[in-house]
Amino acid sequence: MQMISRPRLTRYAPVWVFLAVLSLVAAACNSSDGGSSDDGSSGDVVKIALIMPFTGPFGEFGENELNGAQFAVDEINREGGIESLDGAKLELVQADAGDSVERATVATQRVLDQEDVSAILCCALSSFTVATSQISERAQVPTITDAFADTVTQRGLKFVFRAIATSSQQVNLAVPLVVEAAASVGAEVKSVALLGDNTEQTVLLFEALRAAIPNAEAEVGLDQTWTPPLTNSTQLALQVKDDNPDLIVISATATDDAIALIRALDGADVDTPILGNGAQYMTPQFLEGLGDDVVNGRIMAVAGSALVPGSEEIVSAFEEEHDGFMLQDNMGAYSQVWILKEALEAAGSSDPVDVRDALAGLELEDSPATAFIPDGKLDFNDSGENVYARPLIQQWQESVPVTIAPVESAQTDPQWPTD
Amino acid sequence: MTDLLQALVEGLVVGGIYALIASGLMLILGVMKIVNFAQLDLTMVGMYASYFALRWFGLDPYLVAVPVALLMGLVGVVISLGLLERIPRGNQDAQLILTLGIGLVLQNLATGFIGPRSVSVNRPYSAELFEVSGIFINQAQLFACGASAVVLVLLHLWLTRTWTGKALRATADDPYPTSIVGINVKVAQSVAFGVGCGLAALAGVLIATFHSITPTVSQAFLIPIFLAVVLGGLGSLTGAVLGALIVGVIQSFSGLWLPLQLQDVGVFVLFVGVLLVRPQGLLGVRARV
Repeated sequence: MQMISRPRLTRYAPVWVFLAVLSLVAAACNSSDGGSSDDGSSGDVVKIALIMPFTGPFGEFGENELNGAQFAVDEINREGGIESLDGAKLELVQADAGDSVERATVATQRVLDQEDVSAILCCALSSFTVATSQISERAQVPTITDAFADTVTQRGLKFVFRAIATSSQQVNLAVPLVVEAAASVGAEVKSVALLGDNTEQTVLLFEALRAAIPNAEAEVGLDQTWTPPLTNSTQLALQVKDDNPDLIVISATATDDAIALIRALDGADVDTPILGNGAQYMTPQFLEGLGDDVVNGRIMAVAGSALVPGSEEIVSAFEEEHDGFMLQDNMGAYSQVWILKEALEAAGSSDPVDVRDALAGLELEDSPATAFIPDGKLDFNDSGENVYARPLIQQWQESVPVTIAPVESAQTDPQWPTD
Repeated sequence: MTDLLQALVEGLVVGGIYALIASGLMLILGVMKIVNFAQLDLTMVGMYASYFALRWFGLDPYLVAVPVALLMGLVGVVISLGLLERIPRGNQDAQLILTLGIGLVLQNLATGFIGPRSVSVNRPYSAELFEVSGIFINQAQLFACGASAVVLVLLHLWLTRTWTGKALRATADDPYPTSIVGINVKVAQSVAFGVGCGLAALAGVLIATFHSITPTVSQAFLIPIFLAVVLGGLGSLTGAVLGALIVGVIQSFSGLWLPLQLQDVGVFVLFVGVLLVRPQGLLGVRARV
């Protein structure tokens, strides 16, 4: 049975070949991990770290952010780069934040140790951003984020900036808007069910919602959080059926959980309107997973960035290049790169501290950097928050996400399921 | 009472699906003495096969289940003959690293070629529920559990009534005397690995009808499946099925009695209890299939 006469190396050749292929495949597939995209220019480059979850359950966010950021970088470089830096080109340095806070912090530390970056775009998830921004603060490198949690920018840090609305801002608008939408079709929202995972973003969001919902003359009914992944979606759906709320707020960080729960709700004949907490509720995959009948006129989502009047040209160009509609994460990352571009122009330097100071003093209006922000204005306060930031509400209508609020930014009227 | 019955039925249905993966894992472990850490990644491959069969060809997952299982079974045989057979017997570290590596390659290939985005198979039965006396059961899960039960019965008959199955059981019992009586142990082990891989992929096709798919979807099933195997008793196919059913039921009851944030605590408590009281598992007397 044992072929001891064969030379050892030859005998194990397939294993060695397999391991070599494994290494190559892993390297190729993980080229996003610490790799950088080069536009081929021979001049100076300004490096921007893009620390996002490219793998794992949140990998979808990273891919969307990368597409938006790269689209902006290509656009800026095509137009001549950073004028005040003699046409220096922008270059994205990608690092994989993976599926945990630990991996996100390791990726951040590694980028800061190994790459000479002027700023960081990070990390889509609030829990990741809260942790990584501590590291970038110590290294004195500015972070721009589209994570929602209030704590991201409310810890006294000087190097963290956010152009979009915080969780509590979103809550304060979302509830009155939904109540108003219901009233416009003769329905009432008296009871709201809160269903979400126990990530930082959801915990903070639900804390704020529990305080805000009574102000809208409604009450919190079923209130459940789970540790992802959700394994008992049918049981949870049956609890919702018993509770019979007028509105369901779902805050599931992983799209899998959101789809499983909404499928279970649909199976239990619960057709209550659903308000999702983020970009993952407005993706083609979400539509594909649930079907037109389930999402149209029923699923809404709070958005930090969305299509508003005036941004159509950018959206058309993006959609032409990517063969699909521009998602909230695409828009967020696009805006962030343009904000950095404006800061670099103002600073006339790629030094991170100079970029941070320029960001702090930045006042923008009618720029690509503000194309997806409701009022088209940006001015960071001492906490690094955009004083003009306001949330938007999107809703699936005719299988496309449309902006339904605030009124001045809306593309169309809201729809409300009727019996 | 209805809540208890609901939790029991749902747990048995989910456990019945877990049993298919666990039995494949156990078959490989019993015959080859290898813990296949790529087992759940093969399940992921089956899930993607189901997705693309529907997307590209409009084929229902149940129409492609058997072809996918056969194809992945062949892939398993190739992996066994081409890679696992090259590792010296008893070198468990190398076996562990190799199967882990295969899993990582599959995950990275899926991420590289398909992307990290979550995709779903949406069929008319994916969300619908059956209602019997106030007990609700997801149709896709019930169909998957039924298919799993049929396959497990066929697997049992194959292992106990056919010459090939008996050869596999003999190999699991002791390879040396088995080879003396003329059974090609190498072939028997490769067949076992192929069948185990095929079962994993088949389970993936069935699970895809109600669960979203990502390259790392295996992580969602990793703990329940390995718990089921250890709980049932290493080396016992019946134990793996029993362990899977218990894990499913405990998970379900945890969701009923504990806050959802603690949904896995019940399983871990049971696991620790079994390790303390009966470390060989419920049916783990000796390695057998």
